[in-house]
Amino acid sequence: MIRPSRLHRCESSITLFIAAVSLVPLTLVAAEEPVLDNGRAVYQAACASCHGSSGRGAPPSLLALDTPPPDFTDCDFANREPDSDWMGITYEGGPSRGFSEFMPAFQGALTVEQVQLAVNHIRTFCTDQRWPRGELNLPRPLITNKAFPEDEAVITTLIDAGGLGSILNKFVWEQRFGPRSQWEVVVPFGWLETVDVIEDDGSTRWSSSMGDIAFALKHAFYHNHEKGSIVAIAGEIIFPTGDDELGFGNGTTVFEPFIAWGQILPANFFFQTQLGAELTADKDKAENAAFLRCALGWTTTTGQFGRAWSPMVEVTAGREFASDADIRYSIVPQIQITLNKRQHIMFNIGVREPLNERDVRNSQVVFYLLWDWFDGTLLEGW
Amino acid sequence: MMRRLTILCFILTITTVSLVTAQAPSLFVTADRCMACHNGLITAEGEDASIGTAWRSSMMANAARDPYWQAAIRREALVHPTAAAVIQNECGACHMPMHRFQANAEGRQGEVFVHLPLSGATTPEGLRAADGVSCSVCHQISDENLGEPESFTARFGMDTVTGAGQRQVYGPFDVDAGRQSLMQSMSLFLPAKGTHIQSSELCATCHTVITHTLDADGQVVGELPEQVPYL
Ligand code: HEC
Ligand code: HEC
Ligand code: HEC
Ligand code: HEC
Ligand code: HEC
Repeated sequence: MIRPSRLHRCESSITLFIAAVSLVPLTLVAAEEPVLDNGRAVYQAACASCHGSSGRGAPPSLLALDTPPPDFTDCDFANREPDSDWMGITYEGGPSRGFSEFMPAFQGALTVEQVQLAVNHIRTFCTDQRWPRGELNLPRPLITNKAFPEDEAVITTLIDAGGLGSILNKFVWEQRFGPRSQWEVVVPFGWLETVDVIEDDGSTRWSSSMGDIAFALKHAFYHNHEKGSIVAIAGEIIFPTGDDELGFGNGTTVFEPFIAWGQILPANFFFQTQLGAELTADKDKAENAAFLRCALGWTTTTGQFGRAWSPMVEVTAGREFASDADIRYSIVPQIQITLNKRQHIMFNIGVREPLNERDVRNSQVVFYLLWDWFDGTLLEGW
Repeated sequence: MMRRLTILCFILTITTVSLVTAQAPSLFVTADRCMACHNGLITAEGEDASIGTAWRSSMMANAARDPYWQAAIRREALVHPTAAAVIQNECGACHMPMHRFQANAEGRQGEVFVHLPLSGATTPEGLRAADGVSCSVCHQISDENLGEPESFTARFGMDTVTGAGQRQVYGPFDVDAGRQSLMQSMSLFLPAKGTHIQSSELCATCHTVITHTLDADGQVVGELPEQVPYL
């Protein structure tokens, strides 16, 4: 165990910081620490002892850790994580994001700039750039669909603020396949208040039912991290599974093609838009329609890498193809908050305010609970 | 009346015991909390100087696994069945130190046989028992009484007050604050300068073994200097 101390000192003094001395030839005379001014040097010195020079993780026999480091060459995992998450984990340590203590905190040992360099180096391990970067995964608005393919489960609730009672929920399961595609299933269900026609005394009754189940495919055909853009096309088929007499469905199959675009703007702003059509199989049941939805938002965090707050304003416009129809506008101010440390469970709440035809359309309170299930179970990361 | 007093006394004892045990901080961590960072060291000549690898294959890392030791203590316990608990506590001090000192800090005796076979260890206590003379044993020994007879036979000084997360391990060097907190974030220990770590007196705490001779009833009847390379 006992070793000539000076010799030992020159390695241990930089223990981590020279994990691969082969790359930073140290002699006893030049026992200074290597200059950590480029990504490779920082990574080799500070990260490679655990994450391995190749990014796949050092051999388990050397680490003996219960929680092995992730494989950074796995694009499916690596590219979906934005730099900000990785910087936070590296700077503040695994537990700051609900990960293991075995991922140490480099705050104080490395500067934020050096952490960025190390993260930049980690980015070189995934070589397949078909996988869109996590930065393009913008906060999900309440109404507008996103362009980014997701692995998430969302339950959205819309409650009418006036008129007859209406509580409609939509459960959405989204799952990625391949680098840029995703399928999803939508199961709506809810409760509606209707005037009791049998009693005919103005009294009302509540009914509940499942709505029209939908299946959709989405493909992000263009994405560019430098430009901050992502564009996807999608098609959704909505089956008439809901009770249309009671108001829980269209009563006919609807095909809904759309195009969605997400754009990062300067100063932490972002913009998302979705343009689509609803093409119905049975014109007697429902009219064809077109819609345009846009969301402008901004993200800020508590502290440097903490909880994310994203206020957004959405404007939606929809019009049926019938000749006498007007365009229906709504505005939806809202705020999305990440709930847990790992930030993979989020909540968004807002109000959908009709901008016209207010006599027939009610204000609605809209909120969702979102679980990015790829990043951990519901109980992890708190 | 007496009964009530007895019950009260019993309750007080239990509360005190639970308070005392609750207060004992976790003194050690196993080497898996150290090796990831202190391995992968290559000298300028290209020689692997990884501390964890060197330690893992040493006699001391395997001091609790040593079948000869396990056999010797089993024999002692068979010969002196009444003193079996004392023997396990005593023999564990150097060969199974993390478990032994943690148990003592919690007001319990160190045990050996319940932990065998060590390869099946899964609980924190079992893992501490299996890890032998681990990194956080040697490196937490303080300079108190080093070289004095009071420190021999594993009576080295060690902080038993500071809670996990703020405890120190000693080494020969000054470590800057940034690297201290880096090491602390994963290992739960702060590296601190303490050159006594380099002295042979530190090794002498365990390598000076003076055992007690027991008679047939398990009573101490004499002392035997078993190993005294330092003296
Ligand atoms: C996250 C990485 C990391 C872990 C885990 C880690 N260390 Fe360290 N250790 C360091 C760094 C960095 C230094 C400082 C090296 C320097 O100053 O050049 C250091 C220094 C030391 C020193 C020298 C201190 C001195 O003052 O001379 C000792 C002794 C030490 N560590 C023991 C341990 C022990 C024991 C454990 C497990 C309980 C452990 N280390 C776990 C990173 C780590
Ligand atoms: C002491 C070993 C160790 C060192 C040194 C280390 N890491 Fe880690 N790192 C881990 C472990 C273990 C995990 C897995 C944590 C988990 O899954 O709970 C991890 C996870 C990560 C993650 C999280 C990936 C994710 O989203 O799941 C990132 C990013 C990361 N490390 C970056 C770095 C960087 C950058 C450095 C160097 C500056 C570094 N690590 C140094 C052990 C280490
Ligand atoms: C104060 C520390 C200490 C205590 C207490 C202690 N030992 Fe040891 N023991 C050692 C050391 C140090 C060695 C290694 C000696 C050497 O090889 O130089 C050792 C070696 C041994 C060996 C030889 C192991 C081998 O594989 O060669 C046996 C057997 C043994 N001890 C049994 C016991 C028994 C039984 C007890 C309890 C009565 C005990 N020890 C208590 C420190 C201790
Ligand atoms: C038997 C006691 C003992 C054990 C067990 C032990 N060390 Fe040490 N360690 C020492 C001593 C003594 C020194 C001082 C060596 C010197 O400077 O000559 C030292 C030095 C160090 C240093 C300072 C750098 C250096 O090389 O001098 C580090 C880091 C370190 N040990 C880490 C560890 C780790 C990690 C483990 C467990 C895997 C461990 N030690 C186990 C006694 C021990
Ligand atoms: C916590 C108690 C403890 C401390 C402190 C300690 N040792 Fe040991 N050491 C042991 C025990 C126990 C063994 C015997 C393990 C066995 O054989 O089962 C041992 C064995 C050894 C051996 C192997 C002997 C042989 O016969 O192969 C060497 C060498 C050794 N120690 C050196 C040192 C040095 C040098 C130091 C000081 C830096 C030191 N030890 C500090 C408990 C300790």
